[in-house]
Amino acid sequence: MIPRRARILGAASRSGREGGQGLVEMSLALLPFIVLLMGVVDLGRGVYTNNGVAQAAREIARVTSVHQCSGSCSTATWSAETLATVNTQKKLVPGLADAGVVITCVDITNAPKTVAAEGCPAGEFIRVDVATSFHLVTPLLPIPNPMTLSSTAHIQVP
Amino acid sequence: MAIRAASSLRRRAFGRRPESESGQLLVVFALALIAMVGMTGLILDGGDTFIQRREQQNVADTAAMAAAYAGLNGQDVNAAAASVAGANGFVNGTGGTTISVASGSGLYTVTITKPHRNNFAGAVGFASWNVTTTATVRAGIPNGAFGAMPLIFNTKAFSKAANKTESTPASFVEPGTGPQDVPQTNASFNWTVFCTANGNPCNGNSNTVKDLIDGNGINATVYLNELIGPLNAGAHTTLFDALSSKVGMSFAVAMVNDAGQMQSWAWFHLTGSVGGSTKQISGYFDDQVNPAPLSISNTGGTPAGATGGYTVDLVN
Repeated sequence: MIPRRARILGAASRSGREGGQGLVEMSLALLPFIVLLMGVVDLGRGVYTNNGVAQAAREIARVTSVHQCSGSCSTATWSAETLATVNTQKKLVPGLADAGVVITCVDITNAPKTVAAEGCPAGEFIRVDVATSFHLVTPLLPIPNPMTLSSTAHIQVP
Repeated sequence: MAIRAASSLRRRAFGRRPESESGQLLVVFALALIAMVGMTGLILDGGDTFIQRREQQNVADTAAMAAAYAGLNGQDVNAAAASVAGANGFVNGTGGTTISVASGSGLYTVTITKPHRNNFAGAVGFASWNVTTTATVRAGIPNGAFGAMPLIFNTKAFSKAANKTESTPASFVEPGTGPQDVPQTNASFNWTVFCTANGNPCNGNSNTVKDLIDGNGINATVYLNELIGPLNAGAHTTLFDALSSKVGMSFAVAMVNDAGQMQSWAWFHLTGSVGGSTKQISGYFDDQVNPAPLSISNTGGTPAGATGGYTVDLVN
């Protein structure tokens, strides 16, 4: 029959000896796990941003094909509809700015066309290049940070 | 026996972890799993929603074109839009899909709404995302024109210059003087300054016409059945020379009746312009008209259906 006090002391002693082991195991496992988790989150963000950039290019090209710029498509000459779409896409795609959206009028060979006041002629193409800077939150990964994600879309002017 | 003893020793030395610590990583993993499923939802469901939006926009564009053609032909616009959308996988009333058509003032707007059923994002509270796309087509006979050339033809000219090509154009000469200055035949044309710009009666001169040819034109509104006074007879050498720089181009021209009243716009392709003693231009009318410079508005009146070409343009 072990006295009650001894039992308590014994338990405390075992817990002190083995409890630290769990903590060490936990800390060893947690570090790679968190890096892996952050990697998954970053990959998700990256793929989402890439999808978003492609979608933004298509959306802007679609709306610009029917709401043309007044003259050459510099930022200042965008139609109100194009501007509204760009602003919407800026909310959806992290880091996207006006400077990252370049709209041009090209022919079927992708050669730039001179745009008159009435806009890109029917049958030619609105080309939209969208680029944004993507920042990883996971440190120490052997890939460029930040990296540029870009996409191009063409839509024929109806 | 020895093995059992060793095993017993090991159990004592490296016994079970205390209850309070077991499952720690499980909790962290469970929390992390929510983040991972959320990110997966963002990638797969988000990407798939983007794809659906692109497809749906294309379907809306096509359905709006179909509705416009149906409207021009006096058919049911809703049925036409639903039929085309259905053939492309967006069946009205199925899977929450709704297709609606609004028409008026020559505009046909199709709106398609369809929920995107999420697979992963549902786990973090987003069961579906509604995707709505809209397309508008303007259709009808053009009653307005941008960049129109200061030329008028009699509507009879359609019979002479239609169905021609670059190699077999029709030729047109200036009409006579006096009351004959309005083109009366299918082989005549005249210059105009679209009188309403300068007020009636208009006193057009060659310089004003030349400015219009050179693109320094006036911003004028010309209504159907308005009198477009032609230019008086003259040598007009500068005009033929100015127009010769536009050979190979297509532009809008005005069509008038025998009294010189505006009937419609037409799309003319110029193949030649010769002054001097010849005083003749050549070209043909394009049958298939869909250029942006010809426009339709609800303030310009309705052109004579027999004369102008229809236009069907995606405008939104």
